Amino acid sequence: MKKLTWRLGGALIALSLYLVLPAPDAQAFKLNGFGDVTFDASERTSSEPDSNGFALGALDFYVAEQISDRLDVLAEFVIESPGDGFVVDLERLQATYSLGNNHKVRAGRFHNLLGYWNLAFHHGAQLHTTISRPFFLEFEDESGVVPTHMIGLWWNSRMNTGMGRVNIGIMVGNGSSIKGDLTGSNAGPAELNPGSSGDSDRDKAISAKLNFEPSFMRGAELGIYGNFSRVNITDTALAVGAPGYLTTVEQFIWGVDVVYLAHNIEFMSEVYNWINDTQGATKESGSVAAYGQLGYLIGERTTPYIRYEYLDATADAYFNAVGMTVGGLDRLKTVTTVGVRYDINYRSALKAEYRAIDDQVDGAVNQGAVQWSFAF
Amino acid sequence: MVKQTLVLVLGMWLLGTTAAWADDLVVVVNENAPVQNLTAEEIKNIYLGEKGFWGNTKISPVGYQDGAALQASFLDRVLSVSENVYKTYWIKRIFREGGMPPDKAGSVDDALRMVTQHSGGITFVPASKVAGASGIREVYRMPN
Repeated sequence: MKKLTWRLGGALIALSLYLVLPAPDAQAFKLNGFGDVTFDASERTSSEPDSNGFALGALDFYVAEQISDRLDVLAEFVIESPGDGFVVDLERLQATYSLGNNHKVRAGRFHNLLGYWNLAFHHGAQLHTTISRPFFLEFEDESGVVPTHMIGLWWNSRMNTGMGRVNIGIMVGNGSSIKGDLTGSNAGPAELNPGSSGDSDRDKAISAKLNFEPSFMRGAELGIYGNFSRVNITDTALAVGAPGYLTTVEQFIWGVDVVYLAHNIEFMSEVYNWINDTQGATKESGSVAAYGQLGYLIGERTTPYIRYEYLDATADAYFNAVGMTVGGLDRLKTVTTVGVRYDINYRSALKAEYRAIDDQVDGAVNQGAVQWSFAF
Repeated sequence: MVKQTLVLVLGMWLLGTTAAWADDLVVVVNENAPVQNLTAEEIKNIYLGEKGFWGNTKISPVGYQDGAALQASFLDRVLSVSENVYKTYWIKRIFREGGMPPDKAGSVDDALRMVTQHSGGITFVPASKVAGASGIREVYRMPN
């Protein structure tokens, strides 16, 4: 271990002490978590040589505690290696107040309600059938292009109708921002920052989702969702106030998802559309991403699966800043994944998959990976 | 003496493990719970965490320790899932939404005691355990 960086070391130590030291008249809560070890092998790309090796996935801890009849708290923090050491990230911290069976209000940091995957699966690889998330749904600190986290308030209601259940969710929170050396001598991709410690301006981001679960087809879900946000992009290579130092993108992301989870079938598909209106640009730019995944559980343990991922990104200020487009060129990328998952038991699984990547930037690349994931 | 003890222990074990299967399964609630009867669908929603309140009363479901025959029988007959599927469901649910799974009792007597301690208490027991028990009310019966 080269270096240990504790972004939230104090909080972790305090939490550990709380868990270890018995407190009089207090009920200790249980720390649970997820982990995984993955062996990856990849062909040469335009920027990387042939490679293979073992990698530790994020070590993910979470605690859930019922504070009172109506109030519960969920905290999730991750120890992960961004490349040069380990960091501790607070991924979620949400307090939930239940207003009866059908209405909940939450405050804190949570996953953005866009799409199905981002709310259903978090950092624990054991939870999803495949080894990894769809590449365009990676988290912000892993080159993701979707605002996967939001800090603010989240209202959720559901209604049972004769046709099925309707869920409505609305989030209001800090808008994302991007800050980094975008045009200087050390220029590179910058991270989408969800604003855990505050907003970069006075405009708040809003996400909403309408979801329908038909009673005539148990296991099916259909959702439509959208996100309005003003993304401030700061190029630290330029002098404060210089042209290009601060660029604002009025962003609207919308999409639909279709899910079917029944009769041993796992099918999920999502589409994302970006409409980015960049300050000073002559017109809006549009980009689209989608994936479809199909798996089938054979017996009680084995699930073969296939997934297709697609991204057609327009080279605008937003996609340039996060590094998805480079050199002013649009980017088309597809990933086809074929794999199999074997559940050792309900807490542990082995997965193996092959990926065929076709990318305008990196070219055609074949990859293979094997993963052992677990929950504890 | 040793042989007699073994026979006695074995007999009690067989009696205990088969009781859950041979008897009707009865769902009981705290006598002050604001419900008179429940449907199988309502019970399912309670044990899946989908329904958490009866009006203003917080529902406190009680199940049994992993591996208990009564727990497996209930999950199979009422929720139509295996114990592993049920445990996986709760891992995912807690991680996604927070909340808490049903409490786990070590025995039927423990479960009945826990139900009497909360006005929203609910559990399931063999029918033979209901007769004479105080502080509870039967709200659902599933014949064997």
